[in-house]
Amino acid sequence: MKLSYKVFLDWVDFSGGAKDLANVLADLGFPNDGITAVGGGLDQVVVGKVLTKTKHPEADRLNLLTVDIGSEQLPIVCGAHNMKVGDFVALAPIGATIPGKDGQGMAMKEAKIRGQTSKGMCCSLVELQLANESEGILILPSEKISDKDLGRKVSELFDWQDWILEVDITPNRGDALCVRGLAREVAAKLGLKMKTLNTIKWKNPVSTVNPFIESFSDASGFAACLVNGVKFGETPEKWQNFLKSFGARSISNLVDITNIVMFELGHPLHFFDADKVDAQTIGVRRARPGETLVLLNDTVLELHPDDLVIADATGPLSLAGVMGGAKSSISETTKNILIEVASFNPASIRATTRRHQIFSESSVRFEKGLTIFHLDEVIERALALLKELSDFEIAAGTKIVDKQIQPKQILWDRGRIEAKLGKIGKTDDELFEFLRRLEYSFEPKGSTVAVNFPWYRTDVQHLEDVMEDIGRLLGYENLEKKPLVSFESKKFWKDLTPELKLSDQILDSFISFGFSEAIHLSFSSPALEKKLGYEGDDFVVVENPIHSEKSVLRRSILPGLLARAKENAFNGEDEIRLVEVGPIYSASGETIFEESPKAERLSIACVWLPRPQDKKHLWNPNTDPFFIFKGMMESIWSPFKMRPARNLQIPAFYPKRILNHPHGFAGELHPTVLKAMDLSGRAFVGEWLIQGRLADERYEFPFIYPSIDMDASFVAGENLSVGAMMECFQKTKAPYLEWVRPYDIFQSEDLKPKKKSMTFAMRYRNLERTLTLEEAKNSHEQLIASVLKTFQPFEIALR
Amino acid sequence: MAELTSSKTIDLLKTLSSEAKEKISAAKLAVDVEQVRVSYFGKKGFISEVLASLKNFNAEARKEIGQVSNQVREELESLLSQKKAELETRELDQKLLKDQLDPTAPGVFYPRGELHPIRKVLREAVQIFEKAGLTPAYGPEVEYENYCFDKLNFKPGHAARDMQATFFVKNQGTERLVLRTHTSPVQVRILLKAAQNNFELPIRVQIPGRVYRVDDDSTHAPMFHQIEGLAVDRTATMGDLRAVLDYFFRNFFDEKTKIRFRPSFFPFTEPSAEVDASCVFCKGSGCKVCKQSGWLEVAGAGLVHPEVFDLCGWDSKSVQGWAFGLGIERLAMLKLGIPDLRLFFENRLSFLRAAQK
Repeated sequence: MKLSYKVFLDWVDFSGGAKDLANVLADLGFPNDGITAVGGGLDQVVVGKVLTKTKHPEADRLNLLTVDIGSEQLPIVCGAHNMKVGDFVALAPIGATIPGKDGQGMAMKEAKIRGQTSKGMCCSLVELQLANESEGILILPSEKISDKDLGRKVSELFDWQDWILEVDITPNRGDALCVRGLAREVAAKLGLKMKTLNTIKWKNPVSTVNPFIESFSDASGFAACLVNGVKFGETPEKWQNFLKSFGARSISNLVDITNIVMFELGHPLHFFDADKVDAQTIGVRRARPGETLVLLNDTVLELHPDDLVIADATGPLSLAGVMGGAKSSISETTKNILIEVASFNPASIRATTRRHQIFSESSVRFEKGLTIFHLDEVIERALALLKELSDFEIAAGTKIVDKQIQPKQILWDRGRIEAKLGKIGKTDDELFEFLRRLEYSFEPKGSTVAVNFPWYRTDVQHLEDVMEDIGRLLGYENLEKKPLVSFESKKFWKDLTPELKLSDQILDSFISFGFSEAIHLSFSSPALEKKLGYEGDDFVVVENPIHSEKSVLRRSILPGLLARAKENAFNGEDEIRLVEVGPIYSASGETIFEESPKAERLSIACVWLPRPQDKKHLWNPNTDPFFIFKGMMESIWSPFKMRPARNLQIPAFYPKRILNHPHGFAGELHPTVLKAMDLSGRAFVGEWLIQGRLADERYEFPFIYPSIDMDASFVAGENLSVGAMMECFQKTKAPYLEWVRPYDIFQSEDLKPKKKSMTFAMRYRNLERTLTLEEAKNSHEQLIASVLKTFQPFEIALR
Repeated sequence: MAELTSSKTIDLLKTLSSEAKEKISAAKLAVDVEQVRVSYFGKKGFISEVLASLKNFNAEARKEIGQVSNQVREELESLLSQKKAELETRELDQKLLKDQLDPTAPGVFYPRGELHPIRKVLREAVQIFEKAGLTPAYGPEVEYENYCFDKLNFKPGHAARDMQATFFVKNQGTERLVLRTHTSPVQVRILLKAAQNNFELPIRVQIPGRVYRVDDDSTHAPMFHQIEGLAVDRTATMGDLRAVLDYFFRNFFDEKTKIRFRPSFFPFTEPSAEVDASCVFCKGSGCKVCKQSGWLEVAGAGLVHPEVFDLCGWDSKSVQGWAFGLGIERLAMLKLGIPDLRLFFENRLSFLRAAQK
């Protein structure tokens, strides 16, 4: 809410500046989004009078002025044209600093403009922060100044200087969206006195209004008052400025009064043209099916049966709490008015504003909740303003219908208060005194005291609400501070820490292989997911997505990660290795949480897109990236034992270039997937489910006896795979074999056509004693014999 | 043959010794040193030959000559090995320096990987809260509207719901589902579970996780991360809450960091507070980041609302607790100097790898 510092001072004798006020409000729970200065440079500019005005000899668009500031007559070059000889202007002399057009500050120096000296500047409204836009320079109103004021500071003559605080009001404090609400808070905290408000209580009420409320659950109070003989007209400047400071504009004196009262007291009210409504049948009810209403802004609204309207026997007159209707609105011909003040169900107003997307200063207040008490006070203030701004003949008296609710009450319990706020160094009576300033009241009840909540608060009912007000008034910083103490928590929920520890370790392992971690939004689109094979209706679907590409939750990390890898490629990034760990979602299936509405599982995925420039390294650039990827995956996953994964969609892989992992998949993507993703080059990907926990780690003694290393080279048909050879070596179970590694594989002209050479290194070791050469040789021969026999069909031979 | 006198032989040994010393010191290569050794101590070496003639002397002379020759041998052997080692080292160095390897060529390239800044901050925050005795707990992101709002005292149709613009999730069942707008529904889950477990106390948990709001501009992302804290026992006060947050921010930023509480409003806490930390950039003296206030808004907090206890099956008169929530992205931006929220989810490698330690 916009709060004018100057307006605020009309309510409380506050001695600090605007920034002090902002700080006090923040300490009370009303922080601000900034303070805008109005007329920031007014104490820098002086009253000047234009003595001469001629065209600049060198530039048609400039004027040469002589401006009298009492002590001297200054030559001024001015770009504006709206001044005439004899006008009073706001002159910034040499040495002055005014806010300037951008508000960043502008210091006046003597200048030569196209050969003409200028000793100052005639300021515009914008340059003095008095308006956001203006034409020409500011001409000071001559009726308030005379020649003896020349040279005086403009700020001494006009009280235009102000600061507008953009105050944040939390949704529970609909009552604080007004000057009185905030003034009451500040006065209570600082112990200041509130100024009394000018109201008119109309004696001898003879009501001619007979309002009704259809349902007290929709509206809990309705007050109405007929006023005869009002005079339609313009609003005086003082009140126009008041409205301007709240960001509102003046419409007519009668309409303005409703806004003034709303900004002052926080309770919206409405004036109907009394000659266009039936005061005997007016009230608040739900709209009937098919009813329509033409609003003040000429919108024709098809009413919903849940909308609340103010209506009379002829039909809806206004959209209750939101906007008035055109038919019954105030116009130049208005002579008599009907004032309506009500309290509506906030949820109903909120639903209506959202249904029709119509928001107003009034609806903003009603949807946060407004009291049903003191409705007559709102009318009494309106009457006083009617007297001041319009005049009237008779007010027929206020008639109120309401739900007859009692203000909320609770028992004082100091023990409970201190148990939660900490020790408070004030007596009960001192605290009561503080709270009375917020219009709490207290009465003895048995052995304790009953606390009556302030009439204007709709959000309070617990002792904790009183605690908060005590805290606010004393200052949260003055509450008792305690040292950090810790107790071990009881645990009775499914503990996910083991899964997360596991995922952390796996993630760290990927990082050590040059993968960088990406974190993406959980959203995806069915089209994107489909490219990696995820189809069907198992998606978690967002009802109100921000964007069609964010309409479902991802069923797999891979599609989004691959798309991001592609963007990185597009942006010219090198060494595109990305890993992401996080939740994946599906409508059904296994889930890691108890009582989980949809299935959520923890997954980790990686993408490697080798780029052409990645090969441009000095060393070893010719290894096929498939083997680099395979090696990384073997190294990363070897320490982890994972549970097999179910329900994991495997994308199309390049034939045979798949690494089989029970808990997921990895490999080189099929070219058709690359094409679907609009990717060039090759792509290596993997995705795995993280389930289970880290195995308990176990260590063993290291070996102490020496090993014997041997080699074996074979020539065989080119179709014999290394994998088949390795499998055979393993199956042979040759004694003492510690490992076998292929280390040289080639085809060349030296070999017969369609043959290849494969060389393996073997290590033999006896863990219990030193292995003899004889034993190693026997084992080695056994191994070779087995291979030669098994792969006879491939014409295998030793080289 | 007349008995030889020892003195002549001793003189000879001394002459040979000084000759040898000269040769040793003149040696240029390790092989030269070895040659000297052979020519004096080899089978036919000068000194060996002298010693071979010892049998011609009487016992006394043998003893005399023996003493001298031992001295000479020890001295020369030591000089020889010293010189040899010296020359060998020099020769090796010369050989290594002549090597053709160009050490100015680059090393084998290994790309560097980095954790995401959100992960770094999330891990650190969880660790600090663990030290403050808060056990991690987790819950689903697709959540019952009831847990996300109603049970946290967001009244149906109340304007407080506008504080958290909500994504709804399609559901066949009767329960309305949302993407959780905060981690607080896990509070509800824990309180409900504890109510089924004889209201065992204390509960001291932290709840890290992803949350969602319908918001997408330069300072809001539709998904972000929070850590929630919750303590429930019979004595938890505003002072205890403050102690935990004070501990956290001193450890997370630096020991001099101060915090302050300001009144605020959340439907699920009463009293509620907005928590500020002294500005990490200007240390509280006022700068652009903190809008000259010296303070940065870093968390929301308060005492668990009695309605929340009652709605979750507890007796709000006999239990009390505190809760807080903080945004990880905001903390990461402050701690790591990240200039724009959008960078987090763009996942550009040159951003992710930019971290300087």
